[in-house]
Amino acid sequence: MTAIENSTAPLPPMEKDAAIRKPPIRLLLLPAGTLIGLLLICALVVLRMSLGERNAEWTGWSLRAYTQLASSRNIGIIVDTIWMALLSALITTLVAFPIALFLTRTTSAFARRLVLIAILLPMIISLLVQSFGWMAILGPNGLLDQAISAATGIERPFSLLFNRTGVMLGLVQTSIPLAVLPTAAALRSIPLSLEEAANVLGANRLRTYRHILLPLAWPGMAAGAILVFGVNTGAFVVPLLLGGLKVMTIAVVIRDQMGTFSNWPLGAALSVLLILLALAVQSLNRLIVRTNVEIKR
Amino acid sequence: MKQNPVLEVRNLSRTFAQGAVRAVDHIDLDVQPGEIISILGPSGCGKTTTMRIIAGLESPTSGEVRILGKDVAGKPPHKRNVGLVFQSLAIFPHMSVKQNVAFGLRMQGLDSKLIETKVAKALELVQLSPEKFAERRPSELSGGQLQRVALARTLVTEPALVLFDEPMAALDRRLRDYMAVELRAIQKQLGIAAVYVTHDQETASMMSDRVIIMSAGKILQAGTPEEIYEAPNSRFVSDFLGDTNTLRIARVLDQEDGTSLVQTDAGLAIRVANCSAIAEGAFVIFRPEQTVVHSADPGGAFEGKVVSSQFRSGLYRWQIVLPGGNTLIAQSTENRLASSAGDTAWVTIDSGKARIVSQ
Ligand SMILES: Nc1ncnc2c1ncn2[C@@H]1O[C@H](COP(=O)(O)OP(=O)(O)OP(=O)(O)O)[C@@H](O)[C@H]1O
Ligand SMILES: [Mg+2]
Repeated sequence: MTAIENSTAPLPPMEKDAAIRKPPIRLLLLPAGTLIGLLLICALVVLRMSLGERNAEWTGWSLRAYTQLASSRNIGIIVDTIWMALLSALITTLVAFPIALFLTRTTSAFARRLVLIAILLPMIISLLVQSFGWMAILGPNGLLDQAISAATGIERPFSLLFNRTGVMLGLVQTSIPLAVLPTAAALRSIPLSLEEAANVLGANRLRTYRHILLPLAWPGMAAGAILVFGVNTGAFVVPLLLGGLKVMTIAVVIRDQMGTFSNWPLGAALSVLLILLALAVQSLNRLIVRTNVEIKR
Repeated sequence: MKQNPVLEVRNLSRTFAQGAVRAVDHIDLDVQPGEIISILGPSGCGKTTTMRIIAGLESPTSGEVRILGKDVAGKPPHKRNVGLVFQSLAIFPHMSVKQNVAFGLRMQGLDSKLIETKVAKALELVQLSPEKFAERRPSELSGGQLQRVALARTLVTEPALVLFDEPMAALDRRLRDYMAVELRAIQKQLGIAAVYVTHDQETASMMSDRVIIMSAGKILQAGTPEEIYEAPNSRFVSDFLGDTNTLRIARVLDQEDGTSLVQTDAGLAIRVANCSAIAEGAFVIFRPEQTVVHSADPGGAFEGKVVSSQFRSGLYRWQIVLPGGNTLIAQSTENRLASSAGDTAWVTIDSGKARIVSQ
């Protein structure tokens, strides 16, 4: 999203027009504004609950939830979650680059449309369905198992379900569009003539990537990576289904605490942590966007 | 001893859209060492395509390109030893001026000390003081300065041949003329061979040893700027190089000693020197400055009515309608008519300069 904003950054000023259009635009912002306001209230409610007592979330005041949050088990899960989000952001960004490059460079409109649809599918299909799809492939007696045992004769040589590898696969696959779209937007804004100029100046394909494409696409790639990281720190469905409670993430713990254990303050405290993480990530994004605008100006 | 040409293009063609578009249509051209030639032609005539084929960014449909005597078919751009200054300049936006200019040298793997001195020299050559500009970002430069960076970036790699694809199209007339003169001086100073593409005939005449006129993928005429201006071989070439009076010949009235008296389809009788055979449907062409206007009948002049008159950069110009309906453009450095629209004027044509072309 951010990369798309960047590519259209130098819009001509339209002061007169803006003056005429101002009131209706403000009105149009109302529905979204209301929703965002509600979200803000929710966040405040969560904050309040995190500071409450168990079974007295609205009346009591306590920091116990935060001391519980700092227990070694929970810290482990938090670190784990952040680590998996980081790794998935890295892998997804790397996987997304060639796809985005193909999308922007192919001359066949048909191929582009096909790839674009394939890329966008994860955004359209429910995470639940995608995760069940992975289970059907990776699970005991799943497609992968059958294929491997048919090929090697070994029964279940390894398992990819209910462990980190399976979760990582799911996280990467479901977030590919988040990385591809901003990367493609960044690549699209690089004129082909820059690559050709580098080429004529003596750079082969690889060096053109290294010195021209990568540095110029970097802000888009970073925006994508940050988006993936942000979304995956809150990952719930994928780790729940593909991790089978063996791989815990913050979101899964939140559901356990608020649901199974009725420990609303701890759940709320973990939620506050997620919100803070999201805000931190967002400010990182800002930083990168700023440098990007500087480059493009 | 005559050196080999730096560039030889033989029978080069390039079609697009399954042959429907003939962007380049069987062209031949040579560039000698130290020579700068201009390819001049209207938009879409195939100039960029020709440059791109020479640089290796595009492959020809047929024909041959030789650089320093070697056929370069299939050689990628980075191995051709050719420099190309793009129509869009293509300055790397994420690099400083210095990094832009150093790029080609870095790709050649020179050591950083040498790169440093070469970059400074190149920047001085294009009159950008290294102290002031080396660390600047492209976004902090004016159009003319960007143009110089593009120039320095290409020249610093010392290619055998430099191609310029209208790098000055975005500049205003004055700056363009200034840069053209300067580029010419740099080119002569370095003794490089160059091809300069433009659709601006003044720039082309100003800076080239030879000019090639292209239209619809074909070369119409090649020669020195003077030759082509003085002796265009077609109406198109003449028109392209400047305003031209064109009159269709209806019949030849008289012919002797290489001088012909022809009658135009509007009934004017015009004497033309230095012409032999005149084909059916030929034209007589002459430039506005090859006419003389008079406010009184000098004898043997065409009488007409002044439609309009202009004064522009030291030149007076008149549009004069002759009785048969032809409009002539006349030009002089003196205000020979104290007349305005509607007055009668007499026009004589310099028969030694008028030419007959078949198309
Ligand atoms: N990739 C392409 N696909 C199809 N047609 C093309 C392609 N590149 C160029 N052409 C066509 O080839 C012809 C010549 O194009 P070219 O860019 O060489 O013109 P030009 O002389 O450089 O024009 P200008 O002065 O406008 O830059 C044009 O008719 C153009 O439409
Ligand atoms: Mg062009």
